[in-house]
Amino acid sequence: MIKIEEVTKKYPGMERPAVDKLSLNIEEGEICVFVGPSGCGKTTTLKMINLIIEPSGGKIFVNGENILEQNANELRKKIGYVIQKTGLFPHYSVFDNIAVVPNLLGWEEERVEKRVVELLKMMNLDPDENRNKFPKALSGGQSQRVGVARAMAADPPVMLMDEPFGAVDPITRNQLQNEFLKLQQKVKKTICFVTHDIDEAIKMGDKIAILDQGKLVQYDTPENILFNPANEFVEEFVGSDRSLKVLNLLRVTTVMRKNIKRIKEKAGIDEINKYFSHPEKNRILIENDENHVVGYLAKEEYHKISTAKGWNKAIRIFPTSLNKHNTLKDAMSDMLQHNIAALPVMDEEDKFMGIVSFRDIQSYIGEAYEENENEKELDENEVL
Amino acid sequence: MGVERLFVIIQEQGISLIQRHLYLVFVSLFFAIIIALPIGILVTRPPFNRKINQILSFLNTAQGVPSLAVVAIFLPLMGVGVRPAIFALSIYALLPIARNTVAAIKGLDPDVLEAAKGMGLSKKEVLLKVELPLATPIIVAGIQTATIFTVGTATIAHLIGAGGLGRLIFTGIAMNSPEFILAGSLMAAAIAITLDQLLGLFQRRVKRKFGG
Repeated sequence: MIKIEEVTKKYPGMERPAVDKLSLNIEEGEICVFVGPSGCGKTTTLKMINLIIEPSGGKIFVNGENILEQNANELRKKIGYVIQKTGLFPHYSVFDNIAVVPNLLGWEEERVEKRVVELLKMMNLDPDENRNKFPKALSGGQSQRVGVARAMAADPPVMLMDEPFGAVDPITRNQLQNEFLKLQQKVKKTICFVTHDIDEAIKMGDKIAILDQGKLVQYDTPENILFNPANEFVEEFVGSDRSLKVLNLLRVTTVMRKNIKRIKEKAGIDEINKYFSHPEKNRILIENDENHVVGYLAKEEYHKISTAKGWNKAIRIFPTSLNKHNTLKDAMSDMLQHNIAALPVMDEEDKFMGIVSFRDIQSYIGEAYEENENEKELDENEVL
Repeated sequence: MGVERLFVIIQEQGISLIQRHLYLVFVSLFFAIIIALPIGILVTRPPFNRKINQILSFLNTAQGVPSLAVVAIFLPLMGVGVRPAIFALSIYALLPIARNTVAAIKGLDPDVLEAAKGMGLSKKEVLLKVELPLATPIIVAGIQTATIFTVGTATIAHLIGAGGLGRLIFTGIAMNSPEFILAGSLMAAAIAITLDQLLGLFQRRVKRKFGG
């Protein structure tokens, strides 16, 4: 969808180019995040895609067409543009701000009206309450929502976002990120996203392009960047806590165990005795007649309780459960908080999907790194 | 000094002199605005915008030239009468308007301009829909300043035979008559204050309209 070919930007009087023969492809419907330290050329690259900055060399194709052969203003109307400080027109109401591009394109009044109201709703802004407000009256988060709505107004297939959530507080940023990801699942835009925050890059990106001194250092999925950094610079940039960052990236479903043995609440003690007779079996899930997991039984406690009272008294209830959208970080956090080594994953109807354990997370991540280490060694052997 | 005499002077000569004075002020302002606005806008476009700071400081310095000197300069060139007076007053009045136009456009939020450009507004659309509306409150303030200056400077126009309230003041000085001086200056001050208030009101309304 966006194809950048050997693009260079040189400013007069500067020793090294701001962007140096950069090439990459962004697939349709993907979020590609440009990330790197300040001065790495990420914003320059972004701004060359809508010709706010003119490239000194190379070619950029958007939707198969060379942008340098197009009228810049016509090109920009087809590319949504979101900037950090929003750049909302202070003399326009929220409604008029969002309607800028549709009006430039000459849409009929009714169509503009319908679209603006739809966008306000998409951005979780009450249309009646907000449409006549002026930007001055909006909070940082609201301004940014209007900024995104304005960029999406004419439904452009491509969007450029320059640190769009950089100027808001961390809580609002997290909220905006989540909302935007949810929205993106529906609208499937091709998005170029600039940030200096590697955590944001990992969270938002389908692909991450790490830039340094105008050059592309690594262009890969967040997983690969974390598991297999291309060089020391990337390793340092993603941080020494990159294995923790992996936790934020992977969903519980990647390490979830399905088909776990379960025992009915009403089962007799023979069945349980038989199960626990195996020296390695220390825990068993208990479910009711409707196949809902009600809790688990631990061997020690089972043996402590007298059979007369009924073993059901020894069932422990899970303090919390996970859903399939939770990340491994959510899972670990819950486990630490509740001092428990495993938690069940439930679907939307509260039905049991599987179980995630601390040890499974540990071994999954450990193995992923080991594999990559092995690959590296192989590469080195090949070189030798 | 007689207060009665003062009223007699105002009653007898006031209306026609005020009319002439206002005529000088408004015609000069009209020319000043239609010249200063395009100049101000032009200065903020390439290639002039590279020199924008120098141009701004030139406009500020030029403002320091005494009004009497400006009027005097055109006397040998254009002779006496209403036309050279209007010419001199226009040039003097265009300085604050041009200066404020340049400063207002230069001071606009670069993010707003970048967003406008990024959305595909042409240069003309950016100017008409974004830059000028947002600069209007400050441009109006410039016009306000120019108006007050011109009301004052127009009294000097009498010296080159253009008439106006200056006639009373200079007659008073020549005749050593405080009543004449007072009549002229009071009326000039009244005009200045009235126009200032009106424009201030207008400026506040414009500012509110543009969300300032």
